[in-house]
Amino acid sequence: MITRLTQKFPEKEVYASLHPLLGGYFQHHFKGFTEPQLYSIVSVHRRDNILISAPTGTGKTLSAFAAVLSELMHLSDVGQLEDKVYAVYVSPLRALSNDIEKNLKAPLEEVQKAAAKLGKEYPIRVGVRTGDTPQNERAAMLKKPPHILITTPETLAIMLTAPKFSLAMKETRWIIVDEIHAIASGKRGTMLALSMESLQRLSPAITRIGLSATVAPLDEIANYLVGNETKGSSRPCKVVDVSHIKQMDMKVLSPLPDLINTTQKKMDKAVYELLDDLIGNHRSTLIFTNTRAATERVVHHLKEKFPSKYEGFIGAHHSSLSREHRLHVEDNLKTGKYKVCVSSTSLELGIDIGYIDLVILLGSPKGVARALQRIGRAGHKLHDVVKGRIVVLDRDDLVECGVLLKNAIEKNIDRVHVPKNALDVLAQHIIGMVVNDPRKIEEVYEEVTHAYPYETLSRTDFNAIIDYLSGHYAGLEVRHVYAKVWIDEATGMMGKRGKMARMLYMTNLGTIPDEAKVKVKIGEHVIGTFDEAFMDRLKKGDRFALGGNTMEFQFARGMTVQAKASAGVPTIPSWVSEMLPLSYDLALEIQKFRKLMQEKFRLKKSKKEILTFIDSYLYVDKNAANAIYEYFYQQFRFAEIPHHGSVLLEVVKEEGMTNFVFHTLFGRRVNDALSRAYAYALGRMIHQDVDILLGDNGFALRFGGKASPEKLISLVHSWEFEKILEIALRTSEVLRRRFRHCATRAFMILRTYMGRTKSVGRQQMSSRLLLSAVMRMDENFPILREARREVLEDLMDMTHAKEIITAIEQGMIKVDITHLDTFSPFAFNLIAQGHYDLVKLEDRLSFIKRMHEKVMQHVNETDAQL
Amino acid sequence: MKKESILQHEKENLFPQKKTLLPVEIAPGFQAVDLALYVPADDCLILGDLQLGLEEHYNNQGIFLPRFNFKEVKEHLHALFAEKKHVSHIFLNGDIKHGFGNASNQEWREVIQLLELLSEHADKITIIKGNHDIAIEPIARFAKVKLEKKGVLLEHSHAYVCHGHEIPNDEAYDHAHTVIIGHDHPAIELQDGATKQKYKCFLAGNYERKRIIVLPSFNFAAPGSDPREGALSPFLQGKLDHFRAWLVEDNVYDFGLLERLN
Repeated sequence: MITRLTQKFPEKEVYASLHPLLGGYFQHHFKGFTEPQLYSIVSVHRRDNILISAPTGTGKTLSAFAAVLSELMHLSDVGQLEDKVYAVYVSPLRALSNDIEKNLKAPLEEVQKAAAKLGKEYPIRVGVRTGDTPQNERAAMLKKPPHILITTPETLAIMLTAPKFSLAMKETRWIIVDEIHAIASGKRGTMLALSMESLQRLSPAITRIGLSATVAPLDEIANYLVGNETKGSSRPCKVVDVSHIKQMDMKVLSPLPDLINTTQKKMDKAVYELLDDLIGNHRSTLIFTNTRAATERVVHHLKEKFPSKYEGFIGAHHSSLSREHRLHVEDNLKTGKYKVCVSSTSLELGIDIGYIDLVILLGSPKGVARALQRIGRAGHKLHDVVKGRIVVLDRDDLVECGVLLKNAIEKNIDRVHVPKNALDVLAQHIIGMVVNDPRKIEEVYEEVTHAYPYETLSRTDFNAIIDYLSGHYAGLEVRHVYAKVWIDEATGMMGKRGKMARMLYMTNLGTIPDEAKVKVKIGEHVIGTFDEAFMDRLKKGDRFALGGNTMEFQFARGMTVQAKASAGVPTIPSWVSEMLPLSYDLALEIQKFRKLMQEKFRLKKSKKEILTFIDSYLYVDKNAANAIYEYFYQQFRFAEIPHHGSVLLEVVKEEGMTNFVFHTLFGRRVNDALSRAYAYALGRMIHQDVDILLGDNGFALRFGGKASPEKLISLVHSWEFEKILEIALRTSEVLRRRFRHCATRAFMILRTYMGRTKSVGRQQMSSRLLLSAVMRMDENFPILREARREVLEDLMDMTHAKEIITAIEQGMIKVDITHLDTFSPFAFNLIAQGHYDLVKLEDRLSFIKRMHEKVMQHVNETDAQL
Repeated sequence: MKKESILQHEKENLFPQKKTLLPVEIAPGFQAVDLALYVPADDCLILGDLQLGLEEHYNNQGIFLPRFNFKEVKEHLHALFAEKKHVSHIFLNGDIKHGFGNASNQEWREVIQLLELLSEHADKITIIKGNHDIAIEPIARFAKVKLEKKGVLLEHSHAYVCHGHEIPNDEAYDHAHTVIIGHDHPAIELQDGATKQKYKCFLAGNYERKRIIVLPSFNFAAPGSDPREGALSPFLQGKLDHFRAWLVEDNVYDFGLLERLN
């Protein structure tokens, strides 16, 4: 049962639930309790499971820990504070762990001081244990376990299998999971959910506490936190939603009143002047971009254009930078030395970076929740107004951010996706479950299905994993080589195989895949590197930009790509693997807006009326409203405004190629699935290569020759959709790569074996062999099935894509096929993608302008005729 | 009304089971049958790199590659021998076993079984040592087959059979018209709109003034690689455009000159 806590507890009651000395600390230091604390402290005291959704700087840490500290103090008072772990705190980042330790030490020290005056002392131990913790510290922890243990999901999993240390957790009373919104949406979270069940088995009376930033749906995250009592029935959990308590001052800003009739130079100048202006008016600013390259670029340009202002006062922060560098930047922000920090996604989570009074989002953050989480990093103190500015870079950005802002203000948060039934993580965890003592297979199934991500795990899938783990796919004589566990059907028991089982488990545990850069060579010369993920979309003949040059992909061998120099525009933008996808929910909201606009145009409303409408519907300024009007007007005069209920398919022949542009505004994840299915069908129709251009607002299929769009639509059936995708993906790079990740998680490839660790290149080559062997052996092999599931459900969004195909079939979504001489305005950004590259930005805007001129010519001609 | 399905022409899986074993002449006097080469003039069958024991080799590195290669090798051999019950001579052209060191359990077992199977269908068996066959002597001694360290000149067809990892230092080689090598595991990737697939192939071309035939590897674990993307053999270091490829799937298909492929 998930219930919302709508009533705060009166302050008196909160004080009454706390140890007097701790209450005194709150009274003295904070003059009372923050909003989240008024809801949660008593609940934690009462041992209720609770999920607290609150922004940064609202006393979240203490809302979880106050009651814990209080209880430890009471135990100490009556001499019952034992040497065991009473509370476990888990956070996804090691840096956060260090912050929390500091945050707990402060009240503890104060309390110790007050206690000393009374001749008392509270020997409460707080300890951090992560992958970095040195051996001597770990040994010390075994002798004297910390009462509050701060750790990461991976280290928690390891400790749960440690025969001696796990004893210290037999009566752990609380587990606190921080940044739960971030962790639940990936496989790390899947593993954590299983670890929480293991911990619950060790300590059945445990209370679970989750700390979250703004996220939806809150009830699902609560269910994730507490798991299920029985099938389909969640354990009890209270939910506190105080995510709105900070006042938000959010605006969408456009650097220029006209985003199309301009040059790249003017645009750049305006963007940096705007940024400089905003930064100048605030003490400290945090700028979020969407890619690491953009982060570097912004820092570089600000330093270049205004050296005296920024040299020494600005820092870049992203995942490719070293840890020292990042710590250095974080410190400088905290001390105020740095006036501005530019980050991609790395500063989204709550590391303490001191006082930020403005957050700027450069370009759309692609989701309401993400926008609020990022902007929520501003105003670290409780009563600060949280100030956020979204700077848009083109017309699609403008519309997207306009609708995003509306939804943010109206608290309409897009939903997060929690991966379900991940079989690879399950396999790894089951090994951990039996790595010490054998267990009843039935009980193993029951335990894992308590975890939310596995609530719908079928017995068939579970059995398939048990078969895999017991090496059933190998012949009897060699089964002992492949089996990681033994099973005894007679007794229904299973156990670990081999003396090295625990060592192998500990050294290979984890869900985060090793990633490495792919080397790009022309002949023998190494030109540069790029992310492995970039390979997902690359095929022979594709052009990409690297280090200021355009190259053409020839082939790949392991982690090396052979390319040749090329003139011409890149066909694949370099940032494609980093780009965050537009959330499905927000995409639907933008469609709604488009539909309303289409209606207004159809009913021939005047410009004034429409501007009034935009003004009332969105929260944007006059310039922005005007730009939006013009954009829609041009699209409407030229073609149609594609919207909810109708998909515009424009057919444009250009430079000898035919383009099918599908205006499916559902976000990249859905469009990835749709585009691959349609590309497959088209490829089969014409027996030729089909290029895919993929975006959030739609996708384009490009090919030589002719084909009938009507026939293409009729060939993709909803009942075969999944099968079509499976076949389309069979020989794809993306499946290969994800299969490597899944095979490594499921211990089919051991990263570390016999004391040696494999490089990513080695893992990659062996996984290719493994994949082709598995495909020959059994296309339904569970690890292969999981790789497919991961691609189709987590990376792409096949579920919603299938709904759309079904709706098209049933006529609920119309497909309007239009033949045009040139691309419609809404198609520009999609088609210009290859021009989107860092170096050739000139080309991109000039390309769009060229198309725009054609459109305007047509629009003016039709207007003249009216 | 039956709706047309885009999947109706799709094969159930990527690896068809049925094989038709029509020999295809890839050079005068040399026939490709499935993945093996048959030389009628000498009544001999030549098989390329088998790499038995590959799976165990990977297991020892913590990679749990399933054991399936040998089973498939046997299936293919049975199909071959169903068509042609007996030959005078069978040549195993190098890299019979995978590992570099002493023969492992799997290698030992599988090579013995293989040699037993082959000896039922041939009068003589010769193993030509490849670069992976470092410790092949014990196996060869045990199974009473002949082990050749360099290469063999076929009497009637004047073809020199050697592994191909080095240019042979052998007078017999100098006199040969044709060289038959393995080592490179040639395979070509084809793309048909929606799908990409790699197919093992025979290659025939020229090297200096000899004709050269490159055998596909006779194993099912490694998919092979395109020699134009980095050939290993010293015989294949020059331009390969003039080579002709025959791709093998359920049959042997002539795909013509490499320069016209991709």
